[in-house]
Amino acid sequence: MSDQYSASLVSLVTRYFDDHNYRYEFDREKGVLTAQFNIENKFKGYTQIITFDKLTYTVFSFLKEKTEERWRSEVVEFLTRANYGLKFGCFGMDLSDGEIYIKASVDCDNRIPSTAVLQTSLDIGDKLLLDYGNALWSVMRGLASPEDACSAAEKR
Amino acid sequence: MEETLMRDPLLLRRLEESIRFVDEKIKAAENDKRPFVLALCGSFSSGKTSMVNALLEEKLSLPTGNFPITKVITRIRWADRTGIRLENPARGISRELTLAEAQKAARTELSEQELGGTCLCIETDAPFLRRDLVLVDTPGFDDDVDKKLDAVTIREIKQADLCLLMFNAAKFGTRDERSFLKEMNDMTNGWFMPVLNCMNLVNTEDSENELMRRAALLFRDCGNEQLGYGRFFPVCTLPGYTDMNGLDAWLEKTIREQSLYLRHVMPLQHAQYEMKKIADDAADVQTRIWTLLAGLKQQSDQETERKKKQARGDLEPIRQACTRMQAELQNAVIPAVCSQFSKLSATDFPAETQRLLRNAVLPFSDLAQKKIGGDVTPSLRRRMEGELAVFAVHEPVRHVRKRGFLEALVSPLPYEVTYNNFAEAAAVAVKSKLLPKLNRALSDYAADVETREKKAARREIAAAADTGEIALWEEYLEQLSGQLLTLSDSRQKVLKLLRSYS
Repeated sequence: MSDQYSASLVSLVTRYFDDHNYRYEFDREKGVLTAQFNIENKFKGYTQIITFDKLTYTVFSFLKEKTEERWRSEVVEFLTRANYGLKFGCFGMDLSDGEIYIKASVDCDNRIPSTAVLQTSLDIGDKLLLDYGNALWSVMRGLASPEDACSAAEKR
Repeated sequence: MEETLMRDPLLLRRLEESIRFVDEKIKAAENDKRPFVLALCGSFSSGKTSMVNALLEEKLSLPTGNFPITKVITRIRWADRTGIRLENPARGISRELTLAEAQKAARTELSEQELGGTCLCIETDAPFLRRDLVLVDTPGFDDDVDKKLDAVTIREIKQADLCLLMFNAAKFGTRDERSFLKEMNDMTNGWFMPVLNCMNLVNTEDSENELMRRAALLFRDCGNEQLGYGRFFPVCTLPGYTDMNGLDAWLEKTIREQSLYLRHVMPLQHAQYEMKKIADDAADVQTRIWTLLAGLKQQSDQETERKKKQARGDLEPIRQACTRMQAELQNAVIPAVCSQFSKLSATDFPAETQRLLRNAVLPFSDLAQKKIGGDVTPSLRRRMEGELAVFAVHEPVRHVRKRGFLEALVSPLPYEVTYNNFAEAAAVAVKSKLLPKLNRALSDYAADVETREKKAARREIAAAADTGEIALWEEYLEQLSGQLLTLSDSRQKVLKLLRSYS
């Protein structure tokens, strides 16, 4: 087992997955947990990747669809507008290939994350994609302006 | 009273065992050719062996009572001829025994060794066994005083697909059946059927009614979860008076209809149940360790902070003592020495001044060393000696003047010899050249002491921060978490298999 991550943190997260009968794969060498989730919106699903280190874990929810180059500036504007009002978690985009992700990090130094914290951090991708997913989908295809799409998503 | 948290190796071992148990269950679920295993269990003299005889329609006629063969695990399977074999597939042992040899083996090697997979197998051509079925006759729960057999029996029950839990009707209600039933539910994942045997021993109709009422109540509360609460079979297996009361038909139907489920899905569900139970226990311990570690780390941080404050406090007196000694040197020692220069004669002045300075400064250096702190290398005294050694006091300058004629008449000497103000010059040199050097020596000495104290404080702070207790708990937590991760792998395997079956 690698010394780069805390096994107790990993076991805490895997237990949450096990208790909910979620399927996942954990790479013991790299300390990376991967799971696939379906979602009831236009994206249909996303890939959740959780990275661990000694004191923190970071949850990434990657969309399976990447942004076309011509709509990237609009999508970036949409993501910035969406990020502005978020309390926990954030959207991000890899500008080199247009890959979009949602990221949330939890610091567990000297304290065990409660079930609520664990649930919030692991469900953040689901929650944000349910709130902003359809609007983002429209912006990724140039069907709506970032401003309109974001305000419509936030009004819901 | 609050339970004390321990770095309990038993929990790690339990986890290991659970992982092994789950692996066995996975193998059992994946094995399509595995026969259906029906285990008979119950307390001593509850009619297990007579039930075997009844199920096999007296084909085998195993002697009942305290018969040595069935005091160990006995497997009964179908073959076209009757015989007894001693088997251990793992060790490649398979040898035929006569009844007398089997009795001897049951009394000696099988009862003494750990029963590491070795068991007696009885083969017979009873029709009941034709459907690829293996009957496992277990020893009674109270048969062995040292409970060695109990562990083996429990393992067999856990590995069986279905259990018949035998009760002696004559003794029913005389033991703690409720906790026993709860334990059976845990061991079999709810797949057992209570059987009230020896109904022939219940004499009157009233006692029978009362017995049935009590049994119905008990099994409704603590009966099996999977086969319907409250269900049980009152039977009589006395040879010649056998009344199975529908149990044989129910067994045939259940095995026929539920075989796939019991052989493939149930072991996995059982494994899931076991894993959930042990994972919850371990997670509870894990949470408590985490909380304990948080407390220990906080305590360690506080201790470190206290040590740091203490270290800062420890250095202050050193600085103050150094400043005080510098002022003392400035105000007392050197001026006093300087004032004595004027009393010295011009002859041997440098040597005398050196002596005066040494007498004044060296005892002072010892005093300063004592007041600032302990001895350090190089010591203050040696440094000051060095400074004194290189401090050169100029010799008095002599002025010679030839006397005039009239003066010569008054004075017997023809030359007049005068000296410069050598004492004052020496005092100025001491103040301007020697004093700053001595002060620097004092500061350097104080700085040395401070550095040494800081090092000691750092060591103390490090000791306060790194308590062995934290390291030990962290190591245990990592071991526990490692096992839990392996268990999670098994849980994923089970989940995958269950999905494939559904």
